[in-house]
Amino acid sequence: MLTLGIDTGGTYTDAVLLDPVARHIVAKTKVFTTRHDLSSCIGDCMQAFSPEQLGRVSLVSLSTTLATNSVVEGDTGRVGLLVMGRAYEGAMPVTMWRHIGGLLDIKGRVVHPIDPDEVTRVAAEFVGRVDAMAVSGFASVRNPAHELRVRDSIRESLDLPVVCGHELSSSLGHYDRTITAAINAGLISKIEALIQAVRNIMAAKRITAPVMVVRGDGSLIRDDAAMTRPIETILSGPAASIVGGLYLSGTTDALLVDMGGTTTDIAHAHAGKVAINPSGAMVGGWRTMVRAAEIATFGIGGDSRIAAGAEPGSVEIGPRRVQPFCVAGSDNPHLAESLARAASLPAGEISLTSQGVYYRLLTDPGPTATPIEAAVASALRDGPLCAADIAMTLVVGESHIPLDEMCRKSILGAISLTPTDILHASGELALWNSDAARSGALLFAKKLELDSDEFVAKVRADINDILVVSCLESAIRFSCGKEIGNDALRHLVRATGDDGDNDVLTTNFRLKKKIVAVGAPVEAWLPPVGEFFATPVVIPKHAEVANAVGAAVGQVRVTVEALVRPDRERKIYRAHAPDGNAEFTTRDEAEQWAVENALRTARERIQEWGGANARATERIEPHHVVDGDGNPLYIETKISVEAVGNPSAIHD
Amino acid sequence: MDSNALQYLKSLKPHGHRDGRECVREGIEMGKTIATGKSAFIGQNDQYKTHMEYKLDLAKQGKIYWNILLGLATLEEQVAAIKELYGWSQRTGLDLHCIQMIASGLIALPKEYRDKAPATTSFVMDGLADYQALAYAAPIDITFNDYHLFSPNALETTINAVKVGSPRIGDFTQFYWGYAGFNDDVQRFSDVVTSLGILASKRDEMICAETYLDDGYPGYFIDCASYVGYALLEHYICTKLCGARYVISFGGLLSENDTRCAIAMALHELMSTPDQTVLTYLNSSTNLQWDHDIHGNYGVSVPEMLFEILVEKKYRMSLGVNPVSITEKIKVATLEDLENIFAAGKRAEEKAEEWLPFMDFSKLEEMRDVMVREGKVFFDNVLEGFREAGIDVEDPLELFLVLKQCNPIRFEQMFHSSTYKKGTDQISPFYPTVLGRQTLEMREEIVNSLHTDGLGGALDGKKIVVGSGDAHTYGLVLVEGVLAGMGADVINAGVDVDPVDVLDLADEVDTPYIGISCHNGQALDYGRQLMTLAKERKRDYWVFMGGKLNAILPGDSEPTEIAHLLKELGIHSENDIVEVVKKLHTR
Repeated sequence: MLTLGIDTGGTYTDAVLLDPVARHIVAKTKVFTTRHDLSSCIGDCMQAFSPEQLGRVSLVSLSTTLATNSVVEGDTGRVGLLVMGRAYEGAMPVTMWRHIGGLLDIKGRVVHPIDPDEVTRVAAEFVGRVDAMAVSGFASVRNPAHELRVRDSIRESLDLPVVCGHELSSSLGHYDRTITAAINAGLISKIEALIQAVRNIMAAKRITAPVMVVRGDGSLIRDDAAMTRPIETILSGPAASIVGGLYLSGTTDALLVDMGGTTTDIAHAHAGKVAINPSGAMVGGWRTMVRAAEIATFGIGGDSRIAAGAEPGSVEIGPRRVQPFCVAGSDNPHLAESLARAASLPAGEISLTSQGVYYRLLTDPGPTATPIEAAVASALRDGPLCAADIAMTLVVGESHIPLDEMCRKSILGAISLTPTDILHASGELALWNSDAARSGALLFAKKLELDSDEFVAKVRADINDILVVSCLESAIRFSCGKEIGNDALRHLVRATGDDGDNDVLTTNFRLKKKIVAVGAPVEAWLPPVGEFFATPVVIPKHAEVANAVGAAVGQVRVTVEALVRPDRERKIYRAHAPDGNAEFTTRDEAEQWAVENALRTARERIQEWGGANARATERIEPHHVVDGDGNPLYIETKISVEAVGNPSAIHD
Repeated sequence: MDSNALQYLKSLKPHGHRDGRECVREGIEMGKTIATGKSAFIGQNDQYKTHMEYKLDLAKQGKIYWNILLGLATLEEQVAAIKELYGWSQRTGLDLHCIQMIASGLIALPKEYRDKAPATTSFVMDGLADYQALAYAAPIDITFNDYHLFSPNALETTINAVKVGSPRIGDFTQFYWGYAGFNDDVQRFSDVVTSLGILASKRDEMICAETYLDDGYPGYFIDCASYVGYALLEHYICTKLCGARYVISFGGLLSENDTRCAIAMALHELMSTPDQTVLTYLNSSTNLQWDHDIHGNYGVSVPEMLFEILVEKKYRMSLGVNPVSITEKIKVATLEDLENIFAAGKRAEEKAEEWLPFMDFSKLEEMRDVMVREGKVFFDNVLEGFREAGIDVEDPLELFLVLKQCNPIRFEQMFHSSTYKKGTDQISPFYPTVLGRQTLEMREEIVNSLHTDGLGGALDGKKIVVGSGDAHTYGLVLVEGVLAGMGADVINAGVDVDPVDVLDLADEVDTPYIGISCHNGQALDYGRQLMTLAKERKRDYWVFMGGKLNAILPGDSEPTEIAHLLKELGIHSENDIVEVVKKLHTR
């Protein structure tokens, strides 16, 4: 019995075949992500595995960037929205929306009832104009009755998926819930298409297994349930990476550092669980209520562009990402010669922007190209050139060539010095064209008036600084919830570290958690970071497919919340549960009802989401404040039930 | 009814009390065994059988009925003063028709509760003998209004008053008053209803239950028309359900001549009958009186009395005058103070008729007609709403128990014609009371002055949650109006709103701005609770409080200003809406 874990990332799609009992990776593969048709790269992955292996797959688990990509690119289904309570001005991510009658007060009591005829009438306006519906009412988290009533009415009259705000979140914030429900509705058709494509591929490969999808907190949800709440899959990639990193390193508590080509993502795990961002996840500029992993992202990666810094003798690393010299040099040996030539010039004649950045043709600009764009494209047809050489070929001043613009339009791609080149220059890596890397490093060193070794050592130190400060900033944010600026921390570390000659203060930062590092560049860059923080750095085997592993080993986790509040006016206790409210004369009765309701909902839901053998834990937290006479005053009881189970594979 | 109003009313329905109709019957039986006394003047005249007959005849003759409130420190002083006042009135020829006793509030409590109650500065009646001493001190009719029939000591006080022939026994609106140490509302109002039964048995002798409207519910209203609607409710309970006669005095809070008289005219049209006028007297208003240079107060009171006199001479409703001393704001009136104001008003009656040909009463009649119409609508709304909430509107005891628990401000908000079943609690008054007008005008004044300072639109785009921590809405109406006038999107959480709900509301509408109005001495407690709960939410809130920011601190018996303590909690407590606007503008 094997689990097939797949992660479609920004650049690469990884897949692993994992034996969950032996905790052993049987096979793995990595292909380029085909952004505009994710099912294609998923199919490519499966090609890497034998039919015999695929025949043993009993669970397929998928982590996908589909949700994030769709929202960011505005490529979502048509959304219809019904709002009760306050109406909102300003943009909403919907195709059309209507405000209908029906109002609750903040305690969830009905102020104006829903008019069923009005709902039917208004719902009819959406026919043929939207692909999915969202319903969001003021204070629905204190009483779901109105949203449910409207939802049921829509189901009777329209043949469309409809999801309510309270089904996606139990937090206060009507506008945010509305946005969440709306974005969710827009993603339903997208995820349905992807799931269908995956099932088709599985059928073709004769794989019979349930399909699970990864959520933004790293847990799993069965595909049919995921189709009602696709918004929860945003940020599933980083979350899967954390879960995979923990699994592969055999740890439950760690600071996870995922260093990619462009960014380094840092997250935090405690007792095997990914730490969740207390504000909801942001996507495409919208704030949602999706509870996703808390990730601190920094603009440094293996392929971050190294450029001259503002101060003389300094360098700037990232946040832009470029193709490394050594990689470009693999296909274009002349690159190394060209760089060497430039490096032989006197320092005063070297311009790092003219001779230190090369450009390659990514896509033909086509018939709509401007004359200069066509000319540049033509000049690069035989291979990448630096800006100075392009200018010479076109016989035009460099400043007249819109190179950055053409990069933005993805006509051109930039090539320059990167940390990957530094590792090649120092000899630690020899994967690509080391000559190009060395020549590139020499060019930069010359400009900064250092010799090659000094330059390489300096950049290494800078990269180390950035990573150390990023870890420090993250650790502070995760543990105290406070933001301390990157600059301030960098100065502190530089001025008071052991290497400094500060005669007043030294600092010594220690991480209480080990670092688990995944990502291609980590072997080179993370160990010194671990030394700085006097903590072990674990770089697990198979780290390069940590995301796919995370998808494969995730658990199904359901959290259900309920609330009990006193109503002093009527001298009763009101219990607010996910599927409705009830009133009681004593607090004990109210709490008991709420807990039972939450437990039942959790059990039902975890089954719907594909979890088996679930363990449920309840938390009941009564809350008092002290009144003016020093007596305790009962405010509320917060109830939370968490059910965790493994995905039920087909043969369970 | 709107759902939350209905919920609220339902929560007021009492349980486990006797059927009030039984109490009425018991009262009637009891009344038959009590000999009704004759008041001093009536007892020794041969023209009028009852005080009411006397009063009605004065009206027929176009004469004004004059009443004076008297309340001195001891029984002896009071008795002496009655004699003195009568003598003075005879000597001067300034006829006085009734003296109303203002005894100590202690008499409202059964004797066993009196030593726990705070001391007062007025005289106490210990038994029938004391009543007799007062009632027969001089050949002038004496009434016992305040603290009698509607108090915890209803039975004893009512019976004594009946025995000395007090023409009116009151005061109905005072049913709403609480008395320290006495919490048994069921007992109290069972006795009240029984006492009304006693009065029902005295219908023919014209002993009436009296109300003084400004002392209770109407004192909280923002519309004069609501005075009328409310009076219809009292009349319904008193006369329709219990069978007792009902009479009305009012006016202390109403300083606008037209509305105060129009109210009287409306009340008269709706409830007076040929054998009984519903009106007793109009009380001089006191809100414009000064506490310095007090002779100027004559200039306020006398023209007001003249206006009423003219209205009475025109319409002959038997509307009496009760003058209030110019010393009202600085001390308890002495006999001399009372004689002075009485003389001033009474002498204004002498030449009053010269004014009549120049008076155009049509506007007053218009107002009367609106108030008659609206009063009826209001009353009908009350009965309909009460019925919908399951309240037994035929049981007078149940009605008292509901009204005692009900919030008078919410009462007007629920049943006024501009809000009943209209999904709003913002009343549009037909004729604002002084309180109502002050609130509206103050709001306009502040908004205009902020605009002049160039702050128009200062709060555009800002969402602000406002609420009242207690039953009062006045501060809230003002705050909401000013903030909205400055462009804010104001979300009104209503009254009696718990701190946890205010925070929930702010979170649900996604704003950090919260304003709370407190008038009941609970501001410190409320502020503490609010900020403690706020801290736990890991969001930043910007909170301001206003109203009466005082509290009785532990160990004290008097309230102190606590704005500085609120400030320490992080609450903006300048209690000045203009400052709040300016601060919010810079955020």
